[in-house]
Amino acid sequence: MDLLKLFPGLRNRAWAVTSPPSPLYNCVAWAAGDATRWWWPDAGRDYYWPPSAPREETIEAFVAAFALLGYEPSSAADEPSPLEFERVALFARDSRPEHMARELATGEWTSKCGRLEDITHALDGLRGSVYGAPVAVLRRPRAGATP
Amino acid sequence: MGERAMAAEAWGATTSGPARPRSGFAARTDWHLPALVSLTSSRPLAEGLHHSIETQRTFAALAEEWRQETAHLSSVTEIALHPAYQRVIGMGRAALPLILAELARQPDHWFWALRAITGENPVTIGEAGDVLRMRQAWLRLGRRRGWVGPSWTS
Repeated sequence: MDLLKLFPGLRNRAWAVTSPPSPLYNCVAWAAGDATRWWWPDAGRDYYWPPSAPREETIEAFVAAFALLGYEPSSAADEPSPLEFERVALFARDSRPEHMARELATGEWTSKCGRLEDITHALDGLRGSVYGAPVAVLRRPRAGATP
Repeated sequence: MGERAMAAEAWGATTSGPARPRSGFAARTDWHLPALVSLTSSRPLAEGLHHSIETQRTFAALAEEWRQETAHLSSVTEIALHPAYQRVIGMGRAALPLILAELARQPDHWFWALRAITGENPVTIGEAGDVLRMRQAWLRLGRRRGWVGPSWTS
């Protein structure tokens, strides 16, 4: 599958493939730092979701799940140093969560694209008709960062 | 070759560009694929179950369409509500050996369909989301129920 066709926002920006495709973990897991499970709040409970977070496909449920990992809401205008804070972004389309990305210490963002590859990209590179737009940015102090 | 690498190979490289070594989270490499099973093989799909070539071709076409059109999605709800996936569910129990053969060939998200068709769920809470363990649980159940040939499961 051609990622540039799916995400034309990647054109004319720096981006790179950083892993092989895998059906074993998804963007939410990757944002949470877990490359061994597929995270999703499905009603059938086939997939992993933090037990005390609401099992709903809503923006609020995703924010609550990441709050359990120490993330708190950050305004879009707030751009803290990526060396001090680790940020994750939730993309949604019509208020339905579609994708998550995580900021690296370099300031690049990393995403697992469904069962496709991990990529590094600019946050807006994935904005579009497929994943929608970032609707929430969350942050927590980066491990090892000096306060 | 580890199962992660084999899964990647089964999925194939989908984009060009230099791959960089992953840093950070440890990659899991302690898993192993069972012997590959081809849907086009002349081998019986399961003892006592017979599928026409047409049924196998229909399933293979639907599975490929589903895989191609949902590969970029994270939402298992959207993945499972894809029309091709729903048509596989609509094939009913006749699809079970075909789904399990495909699952044995490569890990993928057939669990919703398997639950819908069988009304069973062998996956424990602790295994939820662990696609390899979920696959093992379903292949074990399939072997116990006689939905797959014994040599297909690890």
